[in-house]
Amino acid sequence: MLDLDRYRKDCAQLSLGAEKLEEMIAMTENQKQKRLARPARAALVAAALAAALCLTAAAAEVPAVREFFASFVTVTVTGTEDGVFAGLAIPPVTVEEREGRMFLVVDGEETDVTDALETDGKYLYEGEGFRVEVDEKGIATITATSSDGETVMSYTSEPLQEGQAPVYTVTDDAGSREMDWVKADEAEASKDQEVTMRIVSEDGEVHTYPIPDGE
Amino acid sequence: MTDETFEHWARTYGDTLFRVAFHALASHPDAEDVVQTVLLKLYQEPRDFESEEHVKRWLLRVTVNEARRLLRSPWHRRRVPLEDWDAPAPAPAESDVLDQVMALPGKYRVSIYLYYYEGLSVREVAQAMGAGESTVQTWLQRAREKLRLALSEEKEETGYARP
Repeated sequence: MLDLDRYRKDCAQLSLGAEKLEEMIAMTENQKQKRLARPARAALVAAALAAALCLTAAAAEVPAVREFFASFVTVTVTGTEDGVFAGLAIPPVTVEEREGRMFLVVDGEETDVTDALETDGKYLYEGEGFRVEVDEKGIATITATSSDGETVMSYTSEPLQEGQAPVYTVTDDAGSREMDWVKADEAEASKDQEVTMRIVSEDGEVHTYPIPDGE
Repeated sequence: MTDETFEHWARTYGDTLFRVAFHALASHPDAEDVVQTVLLKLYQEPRDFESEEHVKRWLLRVTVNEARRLLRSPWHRRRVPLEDWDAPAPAPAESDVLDQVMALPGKYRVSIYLYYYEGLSVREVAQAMGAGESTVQTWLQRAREKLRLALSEEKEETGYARP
C-alpha cells in the first residue's frame, strides 16, 4: 500500500528551487515578444477572411479556400516586423454530445468536459496561440491570440450530435464581419461524389461551392 | 495582470506546477519547460481570476494540458515514445515510495499526486486532467493495485517490506 507520509515527504522535496523560480519569473516578465502592429495584423486577418469569404465562381480561387477549410480551421496570418516571421494556426475544434456527455475535441484529442461544465459552468482549454472556452450550452468560443496574447479573431462552434457537420460563426478582429460557415462533410463523401462547401451569410442566403478533387 | 499579482501566484504555485509536470513527464528539464510555459500563459492571461482557488484550478489544468502537449510534440516524440502518458517511466534506481509511483503510467502518476498530495477530490482531479470522475476513480484504483503488487514483489525478492 502507498506509504502516504513518505510519499508526501518525497514530493515536498520536489522543488524548482527558489533561485530557479525567481529566474523563471524574471524571464517571463522580461519576455519582449516580437509583435506585429495591430492594424497590420487586423489587415492580414481581414485579408485571410476575405480570401475565404469573397468567393466567386472563379475556379482559381477555390483551392486557396479549400486549404482554409480543409484543415478546419487553419488560419495563417503572416507578416514581418524587424524581419521576424509571425503566424498562427488553429487546429480543428468541435464540441460533441454523446450519450449525455459533452466532449471537447481539439485536433482529435477528446476531453470529457461534462463535469467541469456542471461545476464551473464552463471549461477552458489553452492551446498554442488560441484558447477554447466551452459554455454550459456546449458552445465553444475559439479565440486566436497573437504571440503577445492579443486577440486576433474568434469564432464559435455549436455542439454537434453524432454525424453532424460543424457550423462556425466567425467574427474577425474588427468585429465587422460575421457569417455562419457550414462545412460539407468531406469524410462521408465518396470518391465519386463532388465535395461541396456551403457558406451561409447573415441574411440566410446559401452559397454552394464545389471543391475540385485533388486540389 | 500586474507584475505583483503574477509574482505572488508564481511563487505560491510554482513548485506545485513543477510537481504536476514532473509526475506527468518524469523528467526534470521537461517539467521545468512546462512550468516556464505555464507561467508565461499566466502572465499573458487577460482576465481576472475570481479567487486563489480559481487560479489554482486554472493552473493545474493548463499544466496538465501543456505536459500532454509536450508529450505529443514531434520533438518529444522523437525522444520518448508517444505512449509515455500510458507507459511506465523508466525503472527507478532507488526503490522508495516516490520511485514506485513514478514507475506507474503517467496518468496514474498525475492522478495519484493530485489526489494524495494536493488533496483534490476525485471530481477536481477529473477536471484538472480533463477526464471523467469514474475514469479517475479507475486510475486511482489501478494505481493502488499496481503499487500493492510492486510492494509485495519487492517483499518476496528481499524478504523485507517497507514499513
